[in-house]
Amino acid sequence: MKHLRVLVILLQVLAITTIFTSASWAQGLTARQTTLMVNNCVQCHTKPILGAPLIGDQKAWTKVLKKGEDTVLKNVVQGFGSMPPLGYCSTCDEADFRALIQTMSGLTATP
Amino acid sequence: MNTPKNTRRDFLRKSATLTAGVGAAGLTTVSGLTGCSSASEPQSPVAFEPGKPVPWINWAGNEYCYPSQRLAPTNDEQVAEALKQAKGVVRAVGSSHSFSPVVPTDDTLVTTDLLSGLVSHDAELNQAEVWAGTRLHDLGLILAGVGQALPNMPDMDYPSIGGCIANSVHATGTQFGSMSTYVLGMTLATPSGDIIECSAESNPEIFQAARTSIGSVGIASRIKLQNHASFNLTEVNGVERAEDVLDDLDHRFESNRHFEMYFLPYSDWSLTVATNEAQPGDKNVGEDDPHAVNILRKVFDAVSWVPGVGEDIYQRLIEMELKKSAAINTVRTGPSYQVFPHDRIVRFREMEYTVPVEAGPACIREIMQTIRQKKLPVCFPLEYRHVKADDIWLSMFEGRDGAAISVHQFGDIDYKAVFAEIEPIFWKYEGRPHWGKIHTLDAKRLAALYPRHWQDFHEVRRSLDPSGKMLNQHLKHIFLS
Repeated sequence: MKHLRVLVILLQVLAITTIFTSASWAQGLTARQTTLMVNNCVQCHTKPILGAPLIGDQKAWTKVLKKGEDTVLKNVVQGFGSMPPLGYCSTCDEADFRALIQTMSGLTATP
Repeated sequence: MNTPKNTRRDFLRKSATLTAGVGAAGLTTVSGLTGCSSASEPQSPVAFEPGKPVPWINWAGNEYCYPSQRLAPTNDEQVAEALKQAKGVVRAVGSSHSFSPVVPTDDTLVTTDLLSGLVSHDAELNQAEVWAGTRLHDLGLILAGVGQALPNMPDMDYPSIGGCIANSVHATGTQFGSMSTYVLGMTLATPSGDIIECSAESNPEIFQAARTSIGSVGIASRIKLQNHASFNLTEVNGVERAEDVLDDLDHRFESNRHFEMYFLPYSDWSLTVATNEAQPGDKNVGEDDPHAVNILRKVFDAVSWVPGVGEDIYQRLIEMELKKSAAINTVRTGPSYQVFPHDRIVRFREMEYTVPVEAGPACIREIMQTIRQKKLPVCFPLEYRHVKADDIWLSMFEGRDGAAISVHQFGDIDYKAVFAEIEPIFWKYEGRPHWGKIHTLDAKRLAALYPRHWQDFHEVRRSLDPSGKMLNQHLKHIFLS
């Protein structure tokens, strides 16, 4: 059972890495931004118990992005609900945040 | 192991239900709240507009800055180059989890997000060299991949290993020092832009300073760690009378690999956490509830305003359910890097002091008594841990085993009034503040708490940074004032 839990987590990380380096998901996401996502966003946006919209959950992200990408961006930078300011990413600039939001949602948002 | 009928989470939920009953009786219709919600603050200290400069803001939302230059190096040379070329005051940042203003600079901020991953490892000696920006949540998995694990970990895994070392971040366990004690060596870029290897054998004085420097002697790019072989843990959570646990405290710490307890304001009861190597047959029972403290807050806010007796009502509500839950344990078992950390998604601000371990019980008793006597508006549990002594110059545990006591306030409430009432109690017991958490001490008072090596540290710091390039306003306050 314990080995299974480790395996599941390893597969999650592998899947995430695979997703973001694959052609469809990595479109518009640089290698640098992929690293930023794995180091920061993944720690909460892959855990259902935390309530954050999960990576690739288009239904959840559609609801979030109804606010408009600018509003979501403001929420990311300032912090929103359980999400800390900047989503832990001190390196990220505005373009990084926009790319990460779009990639995590699997959607193209409108400002 | 039987599945319990009740858990700590159930207790908190039932308490909230009881509170709803109080509200139904009409008690919540009166204005003039004095409870936890009495002074609400916005989550972010600054507003951001798209197209404008992105501020740096810490996790707790109580510190921010607008650095004119933000650099994100990816290797040793780039870290050194960043320091060489940097304008003005240079500060480094990992996950932004410090509560004290150790990061803010309006000049150059060096971020370490891209300094992440495993550099090399020694399977025979269980040693590994990692990039300093590696977050603990990644580090656990990375080390597991080579059959290793950190000997001990804090109860959350958001920080970077570099940030942990700079601030002597710790966990609990009488046989375990802070994370700075796991360090065998460092690759350090100095403020002048040189790259230095330091360890007990090579540049030993710089090594002693760099193992807890609050980021004042340069920026570590790589850190070599002494780890353990991978291991599994089982954590057992319980509810017990605080005085019963305090009376048995030495035994609790000696008989468990890790032990800690949480004191509940206005209650005689406490939550205990005992963690040991997993045994065959251990199973998870119940689950963590990262929102649990919010339920405590709802209970407190619903009743604490009642003139004269609000805190008593809160105490009775809490104790009523705790008594029912006293024999109930929740259990988490699995790989160490999964059991040590817990999710922390409720924003708070924290002050922590480490007092000599012998003084721990008297100190926490006085704090809990003060909260009651002065009816302080705080319901967030206080954390109590033990850490082994070390020989690191500016470690909070230098020369003495420590009892680390943490006081919290919710992130949207002004913490200053409550912390101001409690901080002097720590001073009475010769407490040393956690470098990464909120405190008000200046250089003069801090120097008195580190009589053996304060000067040694600053000689090394000045030799590496004669112009004070790494000193922001806060570091000047704690080192120079």
